[in-house]
Amino acid sequence: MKLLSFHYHLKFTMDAPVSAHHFTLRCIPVSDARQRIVQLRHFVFPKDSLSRGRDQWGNALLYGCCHGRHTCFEANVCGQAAVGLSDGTSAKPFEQERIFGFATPLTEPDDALRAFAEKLRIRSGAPEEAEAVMRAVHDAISYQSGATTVQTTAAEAFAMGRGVCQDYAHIMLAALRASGVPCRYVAGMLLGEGKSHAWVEVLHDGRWTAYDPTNCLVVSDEHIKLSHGRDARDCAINRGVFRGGAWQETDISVIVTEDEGSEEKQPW
Amino acid sequence: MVNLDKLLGSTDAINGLLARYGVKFGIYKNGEFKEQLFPYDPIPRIIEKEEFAYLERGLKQRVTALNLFLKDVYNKKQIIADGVVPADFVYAASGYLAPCEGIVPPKEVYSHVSGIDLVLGKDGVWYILEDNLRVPSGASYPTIARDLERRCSPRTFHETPIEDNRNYPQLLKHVCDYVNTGGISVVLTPGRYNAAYFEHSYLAERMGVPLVSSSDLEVEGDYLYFTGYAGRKERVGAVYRRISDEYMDPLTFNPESLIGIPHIFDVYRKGNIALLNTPGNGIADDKGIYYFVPKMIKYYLDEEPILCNAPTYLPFYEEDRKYVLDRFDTLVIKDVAEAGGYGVVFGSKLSAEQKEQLVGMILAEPRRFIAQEVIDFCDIPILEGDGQVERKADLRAFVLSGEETVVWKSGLTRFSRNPDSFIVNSSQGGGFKDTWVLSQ
Repeated sequence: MKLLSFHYHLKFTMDAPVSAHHFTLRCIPVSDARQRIVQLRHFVFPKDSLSRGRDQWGNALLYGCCHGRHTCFEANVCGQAAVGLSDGTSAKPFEQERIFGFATPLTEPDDALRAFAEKLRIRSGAPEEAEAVMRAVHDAISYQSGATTVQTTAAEAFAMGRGVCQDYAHIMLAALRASGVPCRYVAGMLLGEGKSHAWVEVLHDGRWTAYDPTNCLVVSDEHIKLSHGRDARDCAINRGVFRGGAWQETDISVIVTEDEGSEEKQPW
Repeated sequence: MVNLDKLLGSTDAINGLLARYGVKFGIYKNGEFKEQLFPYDPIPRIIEKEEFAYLERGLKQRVTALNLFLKDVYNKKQIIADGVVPADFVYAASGYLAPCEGIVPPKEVYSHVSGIDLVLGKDGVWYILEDNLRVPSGASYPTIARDLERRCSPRTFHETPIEDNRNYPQLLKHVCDYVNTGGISVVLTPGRYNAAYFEHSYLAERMGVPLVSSSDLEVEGDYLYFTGYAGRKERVGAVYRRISDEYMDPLTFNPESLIGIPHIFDVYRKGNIALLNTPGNGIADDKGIYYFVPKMIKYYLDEEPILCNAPTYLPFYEEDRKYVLDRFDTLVIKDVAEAGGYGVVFGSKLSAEQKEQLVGMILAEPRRFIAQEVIDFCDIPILEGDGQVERKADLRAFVLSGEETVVWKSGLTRFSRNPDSFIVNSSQGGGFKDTWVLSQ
């Protein structure tokens, strides 16, 4: 168990003013069996309205609108989380999780990826199997930022042999799903400084267990989960529409530090 | 015997009035939008009281089961767990919308307006051709036609016991009121370039509710609001929306949609608005799922289906696949991804090369196709020039589900102008008739 402080910062800069800006943000961590959100604050600017909601997978949403003209939009989410409270989370009845066993456009395997999955002889998604898949995916491609985009599919990244955390996760999902094992994409934050991170949860025996193929690491107490879904598209940190023609520059920074002290008193 | 002389003599007058009222149907052909009159034929389709009572029972049963299926498939998924409907057919279907997972709509009604297409076979049996549970259109045409018929030939309606069908907008309004979560009800149209714009405006007027486009609606916080011409802002509790699911909310569905309302889906998920029909209904009227509807009736209601499907085969199952390949020339093959009479192919009408190509596609993607026996359905008379000719026709029955499930005592009868065509879909340029249900 570790106590982590986190600060998620998202900033858009537009090169021309936009208006009627509607946004949905998916960067609010939720407490579960593995992580407890001890404290949480958020700050969104500019905005005229802000509401909280949930999506179909239970992820927390912040949504709202900014009517007036603006060239900059910022969201900050910070707080404290106790993580590694358990080695997994319990799943719903199998039939209700089975959808995560079906490929999505981003995780549709091609022949090469299918052959890769076959060689791994995945049967059930049991921990030792899932770890073997994670290691194989970790070795199959090398980390290189900028080699892929958010639209890159698992098959494309696999063929290229390069990618970032999203691609590692997608390849692992594609391989497991090719064998019918339900698994889901997780967006979150990792101890240290950087951008947002992504990893994978695998369903086995009524439990979701998390694996980080980018770092070849079974997730325990250094990851804070923000959302899960079928693939990166379900976990989009930000979705928005606005009026106006502008180029938009996105700046994301994430800082997660370990707290030596005790939990802050006021639970959120 | 019904005396139709006066009515037949009024054909031109009625079509003229329909044109003047703008009773048109728009079709897209070769990427171009063309609006054309929806030709009215004055010879009604007449359904006897007893026969309609039978249809009524069957339709209520079917729609009840479909509503239960929708609740189940987006929540517990018991029917999949019990092996009645394969998971592949649900999750691979284009009509399945993951964002609808876990939602139970106001009053648990999913398909508020169901348009069920039937044909009467020459064997005297009614067959269900397809279910339309998304935004079925067409009820306004027989409604306005009836109004004009009664004006042209009042005597006919005095002498013949015909169920009045002009209550359709009221039935629909009752459903809106029942599921309304607080506030006004509105009819949402994508605009005047939609194929059924006449219907949108007609229904809104007759229901006595505002006809709105998406720019008149806005989400603020947890609720949806309508701002009228005078600038007055009112909360909206029910939206009879005539825009398709994918375009409803650019933040949940198609991000390119300009006709959607940002965040309407968030408000809906919170239970603060009713959407008619419920998004995600496409999973229940999918051509592949159609095969399973009789099984659903047994599964959910423990009843035998009153109305039957056209005999259907799924190449997905090996046994059916063999049958389909053996009997290819006698079957009609449908691509489950297509709608509106497109993607329907008669095995007998293909060249050897086309056939080979289609068989290849079926073997490669069996889940994508269904095959059905060609039903030889009844011809009904239509006027052509001074005489009468026989043409293929179907019937779209409308079932409204609110506090209770009712079948509208009429229906849209569509016929094909082309003597060789079995396809009567209005997107393909047919005509329509009023449907008279006798009350005695």
